[in-house]
Amino acid sequence: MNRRTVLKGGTALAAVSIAAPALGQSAKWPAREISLINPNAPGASTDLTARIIAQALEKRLNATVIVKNVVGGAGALGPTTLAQSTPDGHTIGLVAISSHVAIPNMMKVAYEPWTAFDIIGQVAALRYGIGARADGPIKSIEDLVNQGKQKQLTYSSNNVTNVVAMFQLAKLTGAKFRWVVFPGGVESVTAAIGGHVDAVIQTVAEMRPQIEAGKLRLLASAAEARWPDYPDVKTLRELGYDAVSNGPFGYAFPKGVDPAIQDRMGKALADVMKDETVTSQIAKLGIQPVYRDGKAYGELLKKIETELVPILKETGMAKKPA
Amino acid sequence: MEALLGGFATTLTLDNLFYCFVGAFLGTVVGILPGLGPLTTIAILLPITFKMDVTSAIIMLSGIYYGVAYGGTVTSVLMRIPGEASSVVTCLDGYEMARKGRAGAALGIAGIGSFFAGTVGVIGITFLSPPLAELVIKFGPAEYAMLMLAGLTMVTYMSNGSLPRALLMAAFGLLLGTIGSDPLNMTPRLTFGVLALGDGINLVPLAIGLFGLSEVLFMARQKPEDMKVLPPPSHLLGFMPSREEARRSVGPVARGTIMGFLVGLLPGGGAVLASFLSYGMERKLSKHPEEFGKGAVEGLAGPESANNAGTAGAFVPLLCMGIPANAVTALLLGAFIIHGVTPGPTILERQPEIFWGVVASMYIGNIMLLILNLPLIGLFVRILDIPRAYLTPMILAVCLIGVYSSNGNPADVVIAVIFGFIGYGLRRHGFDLGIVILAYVLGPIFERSVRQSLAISDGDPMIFLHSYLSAGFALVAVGLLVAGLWPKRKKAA
Repeated sequence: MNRRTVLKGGTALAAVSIAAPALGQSAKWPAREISLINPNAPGASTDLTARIIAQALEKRLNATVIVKNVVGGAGALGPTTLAQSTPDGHTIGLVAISSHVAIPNMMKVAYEPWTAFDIIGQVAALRYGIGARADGPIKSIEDLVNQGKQKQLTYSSNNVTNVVAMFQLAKLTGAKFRWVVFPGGVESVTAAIGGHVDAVIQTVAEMRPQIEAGKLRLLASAAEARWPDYPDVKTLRELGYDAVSNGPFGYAFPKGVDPAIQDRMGKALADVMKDETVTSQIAKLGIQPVYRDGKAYGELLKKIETELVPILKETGMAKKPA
Repeated sequence: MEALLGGFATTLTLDNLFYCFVGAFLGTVVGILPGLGPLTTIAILLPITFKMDVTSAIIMLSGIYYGVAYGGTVTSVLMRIPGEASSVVTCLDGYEMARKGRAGAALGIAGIGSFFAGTVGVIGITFLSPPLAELVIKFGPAEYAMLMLAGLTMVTYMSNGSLPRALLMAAFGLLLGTIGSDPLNMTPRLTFGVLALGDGINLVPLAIGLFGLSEVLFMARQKPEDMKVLPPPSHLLGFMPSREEARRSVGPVARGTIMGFLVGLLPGGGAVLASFLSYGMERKLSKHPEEFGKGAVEGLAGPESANNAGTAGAFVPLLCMGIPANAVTALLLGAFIIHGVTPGPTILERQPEIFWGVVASMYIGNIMLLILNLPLIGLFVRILDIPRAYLTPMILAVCLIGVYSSNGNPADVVIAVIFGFIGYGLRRHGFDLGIVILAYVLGPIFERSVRQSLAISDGDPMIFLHSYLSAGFALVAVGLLVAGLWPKRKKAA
């Protein structure tokens, strides 16, 4: 035994002694209630989803799961709080395009999105569609594109994550579309049926009431798949335009949680997402229940970043380089 | 009509009456007590309602919402703490009435006015919902911009003193409104890198700081011998307004109700705008404009009716369009959706029993609130019997807990304290704080809709005159401005 092996052994020992409390943690976990940080206000679709998921997780983890609405900082307060909380497995929080792509590229934040979190998994995806006033001149995506080539058209939407498909569509066809930002999803749908803008891109939950009332025409699904409620309406891809808006959301620990805890939480979440009552409750909100594990969800967010950053720059929403 | 009777049949089951009572009662309590805002209460109760019958759940949650409006009046009148934006105006003259020993009458008038306005508002919903929903659709960015402009000209009617001072306060309010995220780019603006300012200054810490905390500072400065104990009403009917007060309230209540309902229909701060518009209007019409701000009964009766009619009016866009008026109705909307009720133009065809059930429960809830609140007024007013030395720290605690619980954000408490000192300084120098709130609430909506309009028209300002509605509001704005400046010019001449 030479000195080097002793040293190595020492390091290993040290590593063990560092890991020991973490291992001890996993045996005792969950030791108290688990907080789920949601950056949106009570009543938001992510909040309602979180409350459904929290209730389902409680049974599987045998611990209380509390939804905490950490609202503020234009959405940055939630992920910042999550990133800075103790990684003992008792705090999880929402991670989405906002936490990983939009916010870090739009303002200075105190966390590094790709290294600050241990992602647990995705639970849902918002489904987007493009619509136009039913009695207006735009009856199809083809009309939208053709008229957009002749003059600039306007469309409403409330969030930069929604509009990716419209930017891609404009780029693919050379049509001119101008995004008019509205403060809420339903407000932007209302602006379209009132004829104040030419089209709208929002989620199914926000558009469905007006589609069913016959005031809004659904031109295409802007998601990867058709909307189950309107199986006849094709996706943009099926119509020949490679354009899609993604709206995934899921949950993460702050970085540095014991892998054993991560594993147990990951399995619990996967099990929750197999629960029919949970998925049907989420579906009722007009959101698609979608499960991806932590790794796959992280990759999806990374892919979306490459699509969204150029749009943030083009619209002047990206922060100035420091 | 038959449908409404069906609604009453739904509501008048023993179960639903019970839930209606629980909701209205909880709402009143929550409105008075600090620490539990309507938002928190509804969010906490939401999972419990999952197992309840849909109609019962919605009746109870709606009950909380309109019960809070009643409770908020109590704290505004007795302690100058506005629970929400729409009761800011109530603080102006309601609190002054309380200081004159007319607290009971102030609460009585507010309660009766609210009941009348709430009931008329519900009748409005009953008969006019579908056509009104059509009207809401006609409001695009240009129409909003001009309506907000007309609202902002109210500044000239709100001022107690000189016009330049009023304009200074309006500018201050507008400036405060620009802090936060750019409404279109969503990039941070005037936040100086402070995360807590990312969403701007919230209304609750601003209003409670300017009104509640500044009053605490005023009380703290008084010498003990200056602190008069107010005479509480000595008999059971102490809440009854005097004949003179009642006579002077009739007109303001009627006008406030009609205007409040119409303005309340508009999503985005309708009830707030309504209460301010009513205050300005009553002041203009009053034979005693000099009494405003010093306990004018018209200045209480009009706005209180307007904000309750506005709260009822806000149910039209909520139920018929799915557009929430504020954070609380947004949460109610979420609750509806969880229970499988989709507010929207089809609700009347597909789920009429829900729509009419809620409307019928609002009639009953209003009556319950009146019965619940009038006898309690005598009790509430006793709060003023508490010696100032104890009352002042209590008000301070109520203010700070209320601010914290509005969003659960400690930074809001700091912001409220800062505005407490600012409010104290401004009031000592005779500035009108109501104007600050008016400009702060309307400014951002005005900015956003102007920029949206110009984005739509590609920079052409003629868009503001493109429809009868927006041109009409522009005309009203100009008219209000001219009429507001006219008498002052005469005086100067």
